[in-house]
Amino acid sequence: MKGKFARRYFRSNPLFLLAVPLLFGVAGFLLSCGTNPYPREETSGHTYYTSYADPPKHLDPAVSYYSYEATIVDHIYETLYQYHYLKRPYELTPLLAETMPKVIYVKYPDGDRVRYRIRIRDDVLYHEDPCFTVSKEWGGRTRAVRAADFVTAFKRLADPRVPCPIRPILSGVIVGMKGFTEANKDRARTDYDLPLEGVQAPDSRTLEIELLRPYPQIRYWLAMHFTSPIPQEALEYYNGEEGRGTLDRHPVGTGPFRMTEWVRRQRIVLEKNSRYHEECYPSEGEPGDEEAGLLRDAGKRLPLLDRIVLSYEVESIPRWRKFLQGWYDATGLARETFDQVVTKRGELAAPMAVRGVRLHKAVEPAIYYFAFNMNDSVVGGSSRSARKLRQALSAVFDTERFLRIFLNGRGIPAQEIVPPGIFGHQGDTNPFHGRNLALAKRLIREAGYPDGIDPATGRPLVLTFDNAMNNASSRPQLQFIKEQFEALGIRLELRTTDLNTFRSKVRAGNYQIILSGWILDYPDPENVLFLLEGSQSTIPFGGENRANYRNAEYDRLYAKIAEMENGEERFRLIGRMTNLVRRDVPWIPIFFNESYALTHSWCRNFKMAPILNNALKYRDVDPEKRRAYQEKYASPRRAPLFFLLVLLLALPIAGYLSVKRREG
Amino acid sequence: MGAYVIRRILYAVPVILGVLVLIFLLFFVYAGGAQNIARQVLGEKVRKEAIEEWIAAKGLDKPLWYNPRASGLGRFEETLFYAHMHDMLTLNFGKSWRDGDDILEKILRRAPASLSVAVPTFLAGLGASVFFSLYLAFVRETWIDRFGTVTCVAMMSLSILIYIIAGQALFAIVLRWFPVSGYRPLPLGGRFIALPVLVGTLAGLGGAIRFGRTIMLEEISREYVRAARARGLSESRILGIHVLKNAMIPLLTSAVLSLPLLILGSLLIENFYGIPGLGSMGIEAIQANDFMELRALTFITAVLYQIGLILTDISYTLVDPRLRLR
Repeated sequence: MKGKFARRYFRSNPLFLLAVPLLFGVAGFLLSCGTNPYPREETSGHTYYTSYADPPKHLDPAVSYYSYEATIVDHIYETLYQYHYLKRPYELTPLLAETMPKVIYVKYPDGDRVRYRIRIRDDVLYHEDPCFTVSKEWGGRTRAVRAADFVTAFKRLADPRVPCPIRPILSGVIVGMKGFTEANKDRARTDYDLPLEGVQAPDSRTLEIELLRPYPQIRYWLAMHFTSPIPQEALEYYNGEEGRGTLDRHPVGTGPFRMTEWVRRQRIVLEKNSRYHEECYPSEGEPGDEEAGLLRDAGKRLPLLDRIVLSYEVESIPRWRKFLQGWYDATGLARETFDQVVTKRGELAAPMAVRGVRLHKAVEPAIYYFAFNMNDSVVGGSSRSARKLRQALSAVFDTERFLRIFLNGRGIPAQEIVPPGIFGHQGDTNPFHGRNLALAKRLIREAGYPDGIDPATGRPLVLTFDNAMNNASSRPQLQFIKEQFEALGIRLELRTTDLNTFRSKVRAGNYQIILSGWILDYPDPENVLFLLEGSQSTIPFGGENRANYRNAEYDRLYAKIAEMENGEERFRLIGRMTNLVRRDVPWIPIFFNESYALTHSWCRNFKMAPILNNALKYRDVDPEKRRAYQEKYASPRRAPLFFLLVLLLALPIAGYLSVKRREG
Repeated sequence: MGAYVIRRILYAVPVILGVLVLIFLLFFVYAGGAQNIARQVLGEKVRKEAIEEWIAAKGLDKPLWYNPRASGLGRFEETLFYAHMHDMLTLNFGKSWRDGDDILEKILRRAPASLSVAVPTFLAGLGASVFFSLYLAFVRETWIDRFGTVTCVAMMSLSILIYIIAGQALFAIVLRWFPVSGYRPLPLGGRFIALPVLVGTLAGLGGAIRFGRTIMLEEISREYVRAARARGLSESRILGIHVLKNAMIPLLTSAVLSLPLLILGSLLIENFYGIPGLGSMGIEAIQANDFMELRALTFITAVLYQIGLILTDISYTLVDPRLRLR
């Protein structure tokens, strides 16, 4: 009877019978998967594996604006100048130019102009590309860079059909750029035969750029991909017709790498440019670089890597997990994993050190600050009372605690507005910065609000803090800010709105205090000091000076430093501007952001350089070391699969036994 | 049935139009004007001139509902509302704001990735839930049944996020059976799809098994089951053939309703596992404030959902010929 039941039970159960081969099939498939996220047919070698979270929108150097695009664009295109990889403060060195530009002051009847004369290298070839005809001289579809290619690049910046984000800036300084834009506005197609007066190529190796006024910052723009040379052939070939796409998708540059694969939202592959011109790894850096092993490859031909594989990874947790398995060579540090990696003292945690992981830190050229609306009747203006009130608010805010609680200590308290590593950073102490409650209370008394009480009402002075910090995670920050300022006895009203309303309020000048930030475009103090210049006021000019700070002395000094070369005098004048800001307190500078990165032991020559976007040409990897790590930390564990199989196969037996018992 | 289907399609029209009006209100009216939209897309640091250029290029400089500067019908036609309704109803989704790609092309390009995860998840989920609910019905009122039910309730109580993160930690980090994330098209990309399919299946399994078990138990108590037993059919045969057939109507209802998900993918799973499908396209569009993509995806979701509902009704008649749709 027992045998009959068992026979009927198993034989007549088609689902169970089907499940057994299915289970073994699935198990076999599972065993074959493994953790390798790259195509198996690829060999790694000197390949650098990393990820990107923001897919590039544009690869056209005239259009691409964001740093995540620059990481790709700046390895494909090159500029006249570049930043030294190792030296700090950042130093410009020639790249496609032979030397630094020669500056010539030219007198015209309608005013003086400044001409930059630049000699171009003669050994730089474009990547091989179908847009070129076969050249006997170079033995392939390529040609040498000519000065005229830079003229084409500048004409594209002025082209009204190219959405160039920096056109308004350069149009204001380069002679004839505005005219070129205007002349082409009403034409059906942009006429590149029209001259651009301020950018000329007298011969194939000389480029001349003429400026309406002294503007030393032009050199930084010449180190940005916007001004990379563009071959006319590429413009004509990649015109979007006959399925050839546009330059935005087919970059043709001179850089150390060329793009060989771009699968949207999957990966981008850059391969070494075998025709890359002579450029060597730097042989000098800043103190400590030699000890850190950053000069081991001094004098070697660049690039050191054969390939770069960038995988699209939008979430931080998978990125971190792949890094731990050794599939990424380097990664940033997300908030979720910070405590696993960094100790309270800011050092690398022991479990990471055991794996050979290294921690790198760098201060970013960025500042975060509170801005007062200088047009406001209470916190604004230049009266003694208002100034003392702002000074009191500055002296009561505990920046260090803020950084510790909300940013894992990733930041440097800002005593001034020029970030460290940028020329003009004074490095001294702001008397009104940091938590000094006694001083703050004295200052608010002198401002006419003893213990924070407004004599007009007999009640605590009420100030408002407008913000768009409307998500749940921002609430503790808002509470912290409120508590800090209210330690003076005043009341801080939090006006939290959506981002659009907040923006509208700032644009209308309808606020007292806001929190804001700025990332510098280039490492020059002018690029942050202009944020407090009078003609940049949001009210009434619609500019970036959100505090609407107007100080004739500051504006005068700004006009000077904006046109000066770096030197003692410039440093001294920036010091005076810094002191004016410290005295008037239109901003409370809070902190300079610090970014962290992690690399594996097989990564060579890794130095963080937030301003540089072409750093990968200096880096290298040790593939053998990487393979050994992956063997240890990424090979599949198969035993639990067999356990799971046994468990699933036991289901019918368990079912049989329990049904048997139920049926008595 | 033809008349019924036509009537159902006509009912869907006002729903779709209502969705379009809501999309317009959300994306164009509530967004706070062209200046704010431009800043959201281009970023805070972009100069005023660039913003003006962008607004003009995207046609956002038109009035919302009524254009007093135009004449005749143009007063209504040269508005953002007219352009929005016209574009959506003619399936002219336009170009993406964030990368300038044609949105319809993009949707067609990304749909296969969503399908390559969603179809196996759907099939594996359906198969596993039918299998386990039959099994639980078979072992009803035993310790395995009780244990299984409790496990199902526990599985239902967990958020999909837990499945996604813990599933990745367990299968890709601890056991190291699959890549953490990534994608390659099929047939080469099976190993990339395996983990999201497994996690997606597990995430929906608790509820589906419990639902299936309830249906099966309800069917078991019916007369035809008693008759089958009296004829001497084995328990597993009764369950696997007769009960399963009759339980298909409610199972199909819940399955067909998930059709839009099949095509649009799961936002979170795709995003976390790096599947470049329509779900991750939605997330990216939200992050980039790309209203053009978002409105196209929202519109397609609404249309697919309506199609799903109509198909559910039709599927009833296919499973049970006694039902007639009027």
